[in-house]
Amino acid sequence: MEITGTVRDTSGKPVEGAHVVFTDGPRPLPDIAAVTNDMGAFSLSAPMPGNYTLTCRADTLQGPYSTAEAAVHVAAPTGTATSAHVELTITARP
Amino acid sequence: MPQDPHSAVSSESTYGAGLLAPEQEAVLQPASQGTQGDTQQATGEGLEQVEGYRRPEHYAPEAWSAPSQPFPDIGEASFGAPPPLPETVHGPDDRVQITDTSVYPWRVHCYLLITTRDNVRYQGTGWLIGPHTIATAGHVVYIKGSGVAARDGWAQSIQVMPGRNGASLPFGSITCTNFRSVTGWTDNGDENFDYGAIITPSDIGSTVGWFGFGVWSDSDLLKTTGNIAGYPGDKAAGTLWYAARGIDSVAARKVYYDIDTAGGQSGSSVYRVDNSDRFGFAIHAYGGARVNSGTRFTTPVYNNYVTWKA
Repeated sequence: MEITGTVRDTSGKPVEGAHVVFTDGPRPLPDIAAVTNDMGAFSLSAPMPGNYTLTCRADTLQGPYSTAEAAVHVAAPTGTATSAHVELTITARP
Repeated sequence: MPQDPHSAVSSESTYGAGLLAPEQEAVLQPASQGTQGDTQQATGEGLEQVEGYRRPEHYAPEAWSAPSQPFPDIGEASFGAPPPLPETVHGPDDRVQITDTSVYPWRVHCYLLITTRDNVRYQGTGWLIGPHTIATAGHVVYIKGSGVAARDGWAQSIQVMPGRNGASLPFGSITCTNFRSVTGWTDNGDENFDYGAIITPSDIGSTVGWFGFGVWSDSDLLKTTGNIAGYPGDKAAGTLWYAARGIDSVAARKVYYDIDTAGGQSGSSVYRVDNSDRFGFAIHAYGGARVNSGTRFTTPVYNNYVTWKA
């Protein structure tokens, strides 16, 4: 099963190079981070159905960084549907 | 006859897949401090010398003793109720940022930017174990069970950046396409066999140095201070972070610890400091609710890495 998503800033522009990690899930998970592409898209593997929490961080060369968090429910596969999608909007941290 | 899950496999078709060194008494593989730059001495207490860093006392290894009964495999336990959660920072976040990453031992740790067969990117960590060999998790070099058929398989390439510190790359970036793992991971996706290696096209390890590695008994590991440095995705991009604590428990093929980590640190060395030399005893791979875990250096793991660093 796959969790796909898009990271955008508050203006709706896709964010490239943001890191997305699991911070919660139904079992121990590989400690890998997804990196968004130029469309702000990322993908993480969900090994089993359940509730997952994702945290995203995007850094600029200088200045504040931005974060976002989202909860995702991954349902048991039905037919060919094996993915869940999430939209993350990052906001600057002080 | 079933194949040994430690049978080595490679992204290179010319590599002798299936080779496994015979079982033998493990000996330590030595560390090297490289030929360039400075070296930082350890504290003599099993910790790295980092200003302001103290290992949390409430997890002192002296407080632990070897278990009288075998621990259940946490991977199996995770499918029962209540399931553990992968919060990989346990209690206060003990991680400290390392900024002098061009100094040994920090320069041994490598930021890894992984590109899969279908051009999706991930971040992981690896550590040099020889002139041209980087140890890391199996799921860093070989994508397994992603849910996307076009993604599963050997990584298309991995950019290796030894000692990266944010925008600074003190030893440049090396594109690597030559990888190793074992069938227990590539065929079965078994987390007990989640280990692999990157073979670099140049001998970067001769310059920056490398860590040794070895096999230790359960009782010895339970008295050990575990050190982890890696590149977590919840911190500033490409920055190196360090933490250390005691070992929580051990299983036949896994080591469990509550050393704080986050996504992006898969493949980090879980290492001990003996007489100022650093020796890996596990490869960090999974984050859990109470403890994190890595693939333990057992004799077959050790033998494969000896072969891969040749």
